[in-house]
Amino acid sequence: MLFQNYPVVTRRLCLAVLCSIGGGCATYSESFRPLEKEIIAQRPEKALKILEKSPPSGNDRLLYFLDKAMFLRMMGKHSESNQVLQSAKKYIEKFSPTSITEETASFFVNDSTKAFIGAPFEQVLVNFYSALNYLDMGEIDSARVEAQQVDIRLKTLASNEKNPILIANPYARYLTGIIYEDLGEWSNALIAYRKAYQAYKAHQKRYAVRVPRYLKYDLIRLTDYEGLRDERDKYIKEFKINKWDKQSSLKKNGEVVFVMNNGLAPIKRQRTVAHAAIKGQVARISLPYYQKRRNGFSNARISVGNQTATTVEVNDINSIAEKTLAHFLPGITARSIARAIAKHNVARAVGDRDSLAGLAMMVTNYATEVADTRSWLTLPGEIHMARMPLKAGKYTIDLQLRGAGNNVLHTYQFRDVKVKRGAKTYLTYHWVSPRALRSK
Amino acid sequence: MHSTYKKVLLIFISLSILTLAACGGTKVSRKEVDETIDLSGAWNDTDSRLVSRAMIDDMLDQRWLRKHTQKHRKPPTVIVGRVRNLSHEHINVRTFVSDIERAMINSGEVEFVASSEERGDIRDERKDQDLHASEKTRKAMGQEVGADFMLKGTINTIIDAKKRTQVRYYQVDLTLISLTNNRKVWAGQKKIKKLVEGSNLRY
Repeated sequence: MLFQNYPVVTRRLCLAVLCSIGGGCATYSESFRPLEKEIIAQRPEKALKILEKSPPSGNDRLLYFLDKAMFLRMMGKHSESNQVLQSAKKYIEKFSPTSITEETASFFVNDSTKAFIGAPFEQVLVNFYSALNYLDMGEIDSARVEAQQVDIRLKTLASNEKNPILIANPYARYLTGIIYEDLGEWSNALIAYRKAYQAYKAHQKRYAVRVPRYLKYDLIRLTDYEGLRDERDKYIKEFKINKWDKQSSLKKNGEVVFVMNNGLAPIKRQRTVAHAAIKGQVARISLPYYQKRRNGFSNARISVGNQTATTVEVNDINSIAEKTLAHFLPGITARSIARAIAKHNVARAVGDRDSLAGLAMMVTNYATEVADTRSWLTLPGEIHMARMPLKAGKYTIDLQLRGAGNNVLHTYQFRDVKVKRGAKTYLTYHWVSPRALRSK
Repeated sequence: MHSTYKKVLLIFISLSILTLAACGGTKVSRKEVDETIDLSGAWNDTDSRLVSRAMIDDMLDQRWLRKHTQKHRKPPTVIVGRVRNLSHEHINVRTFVSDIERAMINSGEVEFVASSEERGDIRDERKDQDLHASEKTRKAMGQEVGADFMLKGTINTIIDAKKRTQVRYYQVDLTLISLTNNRKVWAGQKKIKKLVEGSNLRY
């Protein structure tokens, strides 16, 4: 047997060396740190430069598209960001079918040899951010195209994925409703609001996010406008809301829809769960886990003069990411164990014939056994939203981000915001607290 | 032992040759513009061409044109309004709208005036001429031809999807609306249906 030909000291030394090799093998998420620092310093252009210097390629190409699109968004280059998101969509479409060669390679090397196409919730967010880009540019019809694509993507994912809680993305549904409403498509808006409400109710059972109060008002207002009195009364009773603005009064004014991206999505790390020495051979099993990053504020406020609107959390990406990984983890673990056994058997067979070749194979097997820690790291950890009706005009809107003790953490001013009668104006902001670098 | 290494080396060389053979670089071949090439199943030049052809034939064949020409003894003047994309794809509507425009102008039976997007530049140029062009060549303001009709329309889609199979149904509706009295004088429609079957496996 390979290792058993060597003295105990040599064996232990080898084990120590192998462990250090394993620990030293950089995973994708570890290479993200320099970019993180630039995001926190609100320097997306520098982060993009770093990304462009050594862009993820090959099977990681999608990560390049996703991060680049987010940096361009942060820089206010919405059109360029959307071009990159279109490339991301094409990539997902092309690489969604199972690859025979990649599956084979992943069985012998590790899961990172497969093309990264994103988790279901990440795929939906590609359309979501593309829609936000169009809304930022005032191209409502193009945002509607994205809304349609969200619907198709959710339908397709639902037919593929057995656990519907993973793919029902309530806020993506909610935003599509807002887009339809902005276009005056009341029936389509109401359908989207209803679907969002159902998805939020299902979400509430597993996630901390509640049905946003804005959505409750939307449902009452639109069912009232469409003459669906029974449904309206059901919502009034359920939500305990007696006073709401009628559609006719809302149409006389404009409205600011504010989307606040809070912090950064959790980061996947690698945990070596088993170092095993089997018959003189060393093997290990490494699995991914999510590490939450500290998100900055507890609430955000937008204000114009005396009028203030506080945001509500509408999408908890942190928890969705964790639950998604937990759903897929049994499969990942089973594959890792099967791979460890297969690698062990091959190395032993080679080692029986030539102990040096066997040792080389064992070192390779050990070093390549890394967890797949790829994920869309420039996503926020949470998405918050506020809606504020305003009369037509030009405004300066103040943003205040507050911490748990109600202390002001960050302020920003949106200048020359044009609000049109009967239309919505969209404002988005992404803030990452310096505390994000200190993971929870 | 020696023969095993030889075999491994042989397999490695064969795989390397195969990999190199697969890297053929970019290949370009020229195609006729009216040749149908469907790659992803998305809206493409063929769809645009089919729609514009159907719309042109229908528009030129209808009574509204004869009635207008007989009554006013001149071809109708049309302005292109908004053609809204209400589909699930980012479709460039300008391609088939400009196809329609070109065919109608060349038929001599319909005249087009610059759309609201286009005329901004023209008006700027006229203002500029007012300052810089000679008296003889200067074009006066207020001489624009007012359109008789506006061409408006929508592209809609209905998608039925299951796993990697989709049925895509496109419907393009165009209408000509009289600018005098808002009457719709012509309504054209073209429908396209596609079955897109994606493979569940790749190499």
